[in-house]
This record gives sequence, C-alpha cells and structure tokens, in this order.
Amino acid sequence: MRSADRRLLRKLSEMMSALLEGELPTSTSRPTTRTKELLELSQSVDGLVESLRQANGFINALAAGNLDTEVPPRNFLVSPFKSLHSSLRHLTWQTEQIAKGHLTQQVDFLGDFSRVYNAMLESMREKKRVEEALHENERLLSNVFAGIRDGIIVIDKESTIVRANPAVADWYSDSTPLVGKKCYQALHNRSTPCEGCPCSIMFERGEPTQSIFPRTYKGSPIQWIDRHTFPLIDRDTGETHGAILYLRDVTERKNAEDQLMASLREKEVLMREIHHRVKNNFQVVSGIIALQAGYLEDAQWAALLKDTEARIRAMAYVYEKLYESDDLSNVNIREYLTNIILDIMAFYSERSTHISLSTDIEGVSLDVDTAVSLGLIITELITNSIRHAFVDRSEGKIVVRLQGTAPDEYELFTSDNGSGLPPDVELGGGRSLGLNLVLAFSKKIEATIQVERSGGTQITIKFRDTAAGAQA
Amino acid sequence: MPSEKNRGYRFQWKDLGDIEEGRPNLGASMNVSVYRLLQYTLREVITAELGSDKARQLFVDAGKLAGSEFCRNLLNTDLRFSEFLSHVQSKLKDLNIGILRVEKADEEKLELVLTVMEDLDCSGLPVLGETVCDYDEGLLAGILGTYTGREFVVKEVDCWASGSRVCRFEARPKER
Repeated sequence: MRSADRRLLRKLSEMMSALLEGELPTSTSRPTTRTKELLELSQSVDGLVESLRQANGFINALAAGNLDTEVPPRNFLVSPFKSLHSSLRHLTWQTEQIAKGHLTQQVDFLGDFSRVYNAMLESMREKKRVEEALHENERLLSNVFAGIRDGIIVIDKESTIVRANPAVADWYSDSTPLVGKKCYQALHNRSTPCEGCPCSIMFERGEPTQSIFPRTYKGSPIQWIDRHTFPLIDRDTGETHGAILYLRDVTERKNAEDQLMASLREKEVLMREIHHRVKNNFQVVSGIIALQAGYLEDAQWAALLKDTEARIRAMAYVYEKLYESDDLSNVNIREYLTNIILDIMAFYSERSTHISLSTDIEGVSLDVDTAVSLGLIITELITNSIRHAFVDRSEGKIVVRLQGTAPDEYELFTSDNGSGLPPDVELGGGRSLGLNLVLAFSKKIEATIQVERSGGTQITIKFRDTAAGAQA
Repeated sequence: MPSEKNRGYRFQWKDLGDIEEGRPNLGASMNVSVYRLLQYTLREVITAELGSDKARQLFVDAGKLAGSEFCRNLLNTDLRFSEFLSHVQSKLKDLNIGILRVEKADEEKLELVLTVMEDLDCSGLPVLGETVCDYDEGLLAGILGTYTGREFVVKEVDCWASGSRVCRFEARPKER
C-alpha cells in the first residue's frame, strides 16, 4: 500500500472515531489517492460528515425553537425531524390563528399533545360561546335600555348608580356621568340620603315603592318625575342586592292634574257659595211666609202657611247640610232627617210636647235629590201625625227608622200610635195635600209605599239611592 | 363517460357519476397504488409524446381545474381565510388526499407556505431527486384561486421524491 493511501485510510479512521465521539471532523480535503475504491470511500465519509454537519445544525436550531431555519435538502438523516419541523411550523400558524380568535383549528398527528391541545381548544370554544351568549345578552339589554324612552337607573345597596339608560342621562345631563354617583346626588343634588328615601323603604320592606318628585334643575323641561322602585333580586340566592328605578316624565300629567284640582277647588267654593245662598234664600222665603201667617186672622189659612213654611225649611236644611259638608253632592241622611224631625217637633211645640219620639236612622250618605224628597216626605208624615193623630190624647209616640236592606236599597218606616188615618183618606185620594205630596215625592225617587192602619198609622217606603244607581 | 371524440368536452362535476349507485359493493374507495398506477403511466405516455416540461404543465393545469371544481362543489367559500384553510385541511384529510398543514400565511399578501404529508401522489415513492407533485401544485392553485378570485402560482419546493419527508409548497398570487 502506498504511503498516501495509508495516510488517507488513517485520516478516514480518525474521522470515523471522531464521529463516534460525537465530534464533527474536517473533511479529507481533496485526497490524492489513485485507488478508485479508496477515493469512493473518502467521498462517502466526507458526504456523511457533511450530512451530519447539516443535520446537527438543523436539529440544534429546531431544539432552540428556531423554526425558520433552512431544512437541509435531500438529507435523510433528519427525515423524522423534517416532519416534526413541519408540524411545529403548522402548530405555530394554528396558534397564531387561535390568538386572533379563530378557534376552528384542530391539531392532528401529534399524539397526546394533540389530544390535550384539542381539549384546550374545545374549552376555549365553549368559553367563547358563553362569552358570545353573554355579549348577545348584554347587547340586547343595552338596546332595551337605549330603546326605552323612560328613565331607568340601577343602583346597588349603597345607593350607588351602576347603570343608567340614555334617556335618564339626557334628563340629568347636568349630573353626568351618573354611574358611580349616589342616586341622591345625581337625582336630588344632595350630599346625604333623602328623608323617607323610597329606595331605603324598598330595601327595608322588600316591596316596590312609588312616588312623584320634582325635578328642580333650572331650564329642564321636565318638572315632575314618577319614580317606581323595584328590588333587584339575585335569582340564585334570592337576596336583594340593588334596586331598579323606573322614572317617567309626568310633568304634563301632573300639570294637568294640578289644573284640574285647582279647577275642582274653585268649583267646590262656588258650589258651597251656591248652597249657602240657596239656603239663605229658602230661609228668607220661610221668614216671609211666617210673617205673612202672623197677619192672617183665619187660623186655617195660617195653618196652611205654617205647613208651607215647614216644607221650605225642610228644603233649606238640605242646602245647609251640603254647605257644611265636605261632600257637595251627598247628604248624611241621619243628620238631615233628625234635624228636620226635631225642627218640626219644635215648630209644632204646642201640639208635640206630649209626644215621644224614637228615631233609628242609619248614617248613610244619599244623593241630594233623594235627600230632598225624603226630607219633604218625612216633613209631611211627621206634621200629619203631630197635627191629626193625637187630637184629644194625653200622650203619643212617633217612630222613625231608616235602614239599608240591600246595596243601595233602603227602607224608611214611620209610625204613630194615634187614631190612625180616617178610612176615607187614601194616598193620592185628593183629600190630603200632605199625603198627595208624599205620593208625589215617592214617585220622584221611584219608591213603593205601604200603609198600615192597625193601632195607628204605619207607613213603609222602599227606595233606591238614585245617584248610586246612576253611577252603577 | 364522456366520448373521447368529443374534442369540445368540458369537465363537469356531475361527470364523476353516481358512485354509490354504480359501486354498491366496492364503494367510493380504492387502493392508492391504483391511483398512482393511473397517474404515472399517464405521465410516461404524455412525457413520451410531448416531452417532460409539457407533461408537467399539463398535470399542473389538470390539477388546477380539479382544484377549482373541488372548491366550487365541496368547500365553503364564505369562511374567513384562516377558517377556510382549516376547512380545506379537514376536507383533504377526510378524503384521504393528504395531511395539509399551513406553515406560514400572510393574509394581506396572500402568500402561503403549505405542506402535505402522506401525500396521495408521492409519499413512499423512491427518491427520484426531483419534485413530482405537479398535480398537487395545480390542485392547491385551483382551490386558492377560486376562493380568492385571483390566479395563484404554487411551486413545490420539497417533495418526498426529492428526499424530504413532507411535500412543501409555496403559494402566492400571480403577478399582474
């Protein structure tokens, strides 16, 4: 063997030993051998060293996470690493897409890593679905908030505003931002909670409250706000953790109500004045008739005038009661009839001193028209008893009762234990003006009359309160 | 089967026929080697007739037509770009064509680096020292072109047949 070949073989042997030691030797650098087989061996060893050098660089770069490293072409030593390199580059791209929110990625062919990674992706997709559902709910809630033209404020238990819709923010533009302020600061420009705060009452009772309060800010077209306060209840725990304030601009309604109330008060004053004047006029007429009676010498004519005077006084009493009452259209029938009865007893005192009176009249309020008719009926019946029932008798008794028999239905009962109506005297028979008037006024209030003549006279009148009937 | 005499033949998706009806027993699948038998014998005949460059170009053109029809008939083109790529990946896997992976994607420039593992055309071939996935180049160009509405150029830079374990493709829109 030539010495050059021997040196080359030694060199190749050293190179193989170095490779086995994990080192990368230098190449044979143009061997000078003439032996064909040795030259081919030298070229193969150089090729192997070069392939290992490329593989070493590629694998080290891959191990360092440098995925942009060049893949050595036609190098079979790194074939599995090329697959890994490709998988890692793809995984990097997939992760970039995931970071952008594209969660439709799916990792395959990386064994357990794929399984765990895909489980994480599914978890992220589920989270995203939940977030999207929450976002959709939030969007819907915001749209509802924004769409409602009335004001909505949500406060926590410390009265701090946590949410307010655009409508209320517009109303209270001088206090914006509303969120973060106490409701009494934002709505009432106060530094401390309001007296009788409806929110505090709602928190204490756990029930909705409602109140109307003024908007005091100058220049605001809104002057009155109707506030409904509802508890904000946690559906899971059932605890109240805040309140919803629903605010409605009622300025127009409130102003209309105020005008209506003012108008009503004005009408009440006018009505009271009218009742007062009517009563006075009746009293004047009554006084004139009394004076006139004093000039008559004929006792029969004087008695007739006295009866007329009694009737006018009965009517005057109605207007006196209306004038004195808070209710300008209904009369307390017990006070009214008792007044009339006592007045008649006093009016005919020369004939009534030996007559005892028993009244049991229910304290109901009846319409003024019904009351007037009843007043005139009772005037006639009591006057009749006083004047005719107890002639030549040392004592007598008159009973008056009025009671409800059904809703809006009443029964007036009068009786005396006198001589009784003469057999030829009938209601509507024409002989007695008083009884004719009783019949006429009974018809006016659509009453039925029943007359009994056993041991005196008993008259039962059943009627409905016409005003109540009309209202029904 | 279209008539070979019909020189005006234009491929339509329906020409694939009703495989379910036609192959009730054998089904839609066949052995990969049969597919390769068809492709490489065809390649030899065309190469012999028209030369290597022309043969490669014809395979690219056929792949592009296939990719375009594939996209129109099997893919959802309403998806966003990255979702569309995942969709293509899933579809190619389901049809056992190959395991597509995206190594890089510039969504603004529409420049991509894609790899296909276990490729239908080449994985497992003996090392020939050159890339052979001309049909795949066209297929990817057809899919991307139909999705984006722009013509694409796809070049295979690594191939199993050239000594790599994966086929790597660089894709970009054709310069106007």
